[in-house]
Amino acid sequence: MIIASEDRAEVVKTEKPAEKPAEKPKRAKK
Amino acid sequence: MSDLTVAAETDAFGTLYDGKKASDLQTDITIADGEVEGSLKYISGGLDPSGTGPLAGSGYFLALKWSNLDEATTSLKVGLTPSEGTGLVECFADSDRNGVFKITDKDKQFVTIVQTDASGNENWQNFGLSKLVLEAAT
Repeated sequence: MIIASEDRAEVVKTEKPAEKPAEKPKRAKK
Repeated sequence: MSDLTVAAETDAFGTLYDGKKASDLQTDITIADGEVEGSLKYISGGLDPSGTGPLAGSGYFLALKWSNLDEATTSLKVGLTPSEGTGLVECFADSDRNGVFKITDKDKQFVTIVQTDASGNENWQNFGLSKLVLEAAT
């Protein structure tokens, strides 16, 4: 996302929550 | 080069800045014939708690998004015109394709978007802000 005013413009990272990593499938117990 | 499409950012994007969504900043924003219409809400304290960035200070803030870039575009610059400082910022690599603009003089400012291709051909689009309605502070 960019943010801009009469002074300047910048690119910033958005404040989206970090995505959770996918859960690894659990191994079946032998 | 073809024009890109500009529209009002929506709450579907989620939080824009400082916990604010699009509907916290604006109402009924539309873009037609190079003019932005609709209402901006007065945001007391601005959107930047640090008080140093472009969105610092009380005032009015416009959230827009853009899409349908020309296939040949290799550079995309966006900002407000006129600008006292850095002016337009390169944001081709920014996948959000949106921005928040602090509007301090709607009758003289434009949102400017410039697409450039690898050969240096440019497509400038300016969007006037004079039709915006600035809501009174509550």
